[in-house]
Amino acid sequence: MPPSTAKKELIRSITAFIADKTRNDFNNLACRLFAYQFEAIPAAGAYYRKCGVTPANLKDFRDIPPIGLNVFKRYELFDGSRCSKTFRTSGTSGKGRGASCFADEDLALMTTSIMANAGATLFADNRTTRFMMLVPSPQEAPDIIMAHGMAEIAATWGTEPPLYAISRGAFLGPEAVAFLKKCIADQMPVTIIGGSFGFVNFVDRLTPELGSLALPPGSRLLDAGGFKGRSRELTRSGFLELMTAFFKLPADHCFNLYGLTELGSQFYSQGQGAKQPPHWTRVRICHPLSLNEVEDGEQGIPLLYDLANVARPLAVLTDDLGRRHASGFDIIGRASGSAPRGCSLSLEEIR
Amino acid sequence: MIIKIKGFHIPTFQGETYSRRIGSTEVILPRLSADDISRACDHLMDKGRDILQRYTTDQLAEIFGMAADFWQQDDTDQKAEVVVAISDLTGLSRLVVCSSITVEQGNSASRDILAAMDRDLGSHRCLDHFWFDPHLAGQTRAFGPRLTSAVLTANVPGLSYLPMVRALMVKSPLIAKLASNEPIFGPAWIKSVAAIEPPLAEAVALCHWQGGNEALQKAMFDPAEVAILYGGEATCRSLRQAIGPHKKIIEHGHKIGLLMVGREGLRDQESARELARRIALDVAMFDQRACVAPQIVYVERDGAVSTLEFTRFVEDALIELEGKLPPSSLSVDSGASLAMARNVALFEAAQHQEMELFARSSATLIHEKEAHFDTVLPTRFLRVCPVQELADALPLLQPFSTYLQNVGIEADQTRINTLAAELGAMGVSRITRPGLMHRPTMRWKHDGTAPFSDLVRWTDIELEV
Repeated sequence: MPPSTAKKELIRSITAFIADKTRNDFNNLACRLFAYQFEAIPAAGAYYRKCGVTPANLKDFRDIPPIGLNVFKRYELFDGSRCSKTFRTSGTSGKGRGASCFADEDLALMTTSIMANAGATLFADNRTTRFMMLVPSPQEAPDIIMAHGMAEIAATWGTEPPLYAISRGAFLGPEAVAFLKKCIADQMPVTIIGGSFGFVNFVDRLTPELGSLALPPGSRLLDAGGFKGRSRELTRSGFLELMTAFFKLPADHCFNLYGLTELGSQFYSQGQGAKQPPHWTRVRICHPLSLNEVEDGEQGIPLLYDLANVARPLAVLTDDLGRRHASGFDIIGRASGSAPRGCSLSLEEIR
Repeated sequence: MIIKIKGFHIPTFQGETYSRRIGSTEVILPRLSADDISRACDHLMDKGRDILQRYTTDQLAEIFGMAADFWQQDDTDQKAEVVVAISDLTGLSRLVVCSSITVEQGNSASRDILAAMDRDLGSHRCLDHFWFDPHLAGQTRAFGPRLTSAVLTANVPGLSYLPMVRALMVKSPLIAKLASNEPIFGPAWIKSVAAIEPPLAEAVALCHWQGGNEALQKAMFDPAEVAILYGGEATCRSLRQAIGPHKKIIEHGHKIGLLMVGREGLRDQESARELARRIALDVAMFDQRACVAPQIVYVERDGAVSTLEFTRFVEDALIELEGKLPPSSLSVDSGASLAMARNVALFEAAQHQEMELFARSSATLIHEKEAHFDTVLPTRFLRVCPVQELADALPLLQPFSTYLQNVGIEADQTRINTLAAELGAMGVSRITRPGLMHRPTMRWKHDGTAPFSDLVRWTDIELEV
């Protein structure tokens, strides 16, 4: 089904809002978007009705009942437009792989969001660089949203096509080293993008042989994913220490990305700094049961509101653990999904 | 005020200790080496074993019964300290810890201990001397292991005394690794026993180290003839590997409790409310962390009280109980998982008319649209599944039979007997009434095993050729 006039109009307004952070339109657009989704995504509409929130009585985006990530894994929450692209979650939470459908117009909005966000953070200096990816290419991993988003970024800020150092599940070590050495020889800055653990593996593997690889000025790193459940868990400081020592980069050239397949937008942090929601999103770190916002410095669960989610619900309840800061938020891990210690059994264990 | 409390009991240990502060509790813990463990094992097998032989089983049961009486009193300084410390360490509320200890110890009178042994062994006296066995036409005697080892958990406050009673009653000294996050009750219990009968303190060593220390684990398991293991799937699997193939292992792994409510229990509002209160008590007693706690209720449709109304009654009863048994402080981690579970249930309830979520304060109940088998995050969380007949639930349970343990049934006795035959064949080891699930007696054949008989070996004297 082609996009409705209402959807087209919404996307136009949201796109304009993304382009102009001086406009104070978030609440108004969130309420309009809610009204659209209330009708266009019937399962979500039924849920909102059950929670007693309707377009008629919604005044504040904070009152939109959030939909949990585990719901996305069980239901296809989509506005019924023609799905031209499906991304899938990695399934690392052990709760199955969720799917997110995108129509052409949703993909275009997501790209707008990705570009505006990267342009304001990762490439705030608007400098072009070479790119090396510690993630597979979109051709090899067509359903991984990060591969898609990063390829878009490389196409805009890359001086040439990126080197994909992961191919068919294998790490192309010699090619990666040769590529970085060439960047150094040419004094061309390079942007390296990959999973957090991929970076650690990369550095662990090459440190004995090379000691370090001092990247040219203007180079930068972007990691995503964190370490939950990995054999080696690092704090953010530990990670930054390892990376800055190996690549000889200042810590503020190291960026971290928090993103979900269920969202069209992502959240960046720089160095040790907190994550800053872009102006077309809101993040509230809340007490898990009351869903009231916690105080600065306290832990809670992140509720994410994203205007780039037009075809899918805009208010999402995560099962990550976050901390609220005056200047943004941090992700400190993922809920274990386990009970307080007990001998009663979680079904995950026996399936 | 800071409470300083010992988190170990090792008669031979003279080494260094350190302390860990949580809330108002400072736990004193030992820095142990494998040599310390080996020395403790040698002492237990030599002196500890010798001491145990001096007592008859009647005398031992009397001593442990006196200790049980002591722990059922709520006004002693020792119990007050232990309650505060366990609450600080586990997050359980003080009233839940206090009630749990009282309930556990209430199941352990000397008559319960001896009756449990007689169920298992024919007569408890066969551990004291050779005993005429009419089936043998001769005499027989049971011997406990030279040393029993155990790995304990912290889910039920006060439960760490149980393997101690079982080992000591068969006159086997015991060395155990206490739960890392609750090393309090075991040492406090043996101290209370030593206050009654000092030599018995020499027959037990209760150690503390962070799980996964293979050298200490090996030093504990190697000299022991039997290992009693409490823990989850992964823990027990790794411990079994560490112990090796040629040792007797008694395993109390994770189990699931459930309830079945027949129409008989829903004949009027009053009896349904009374039943709901009993069910709430089974859920709240150990804050649902015990394997005896129910997670699912299968309820028959077409009673005078609807299954939906009954679910609301249980929710009310759980809220009412919050004063007497306050819920644990919920970590952000558990809270996040609970929030997600409630969110999914509410979303699904919006899609299906018969489904409903009741989530108020600490209580979470899901009235399911159709019966199925799924566990819950044990945080006073019940899944209520409507069924036409209780027997309809049986095929749903079959795939999970290994994990079934306690079933509380509210129905006529004839129906209970019919269901019991099926449930027993599946692997359920205890069938009782709702409201009693949380208090199995010492006499229960725990997990369907014979806890005393499993520990001993036998010597027969044949009198007739």
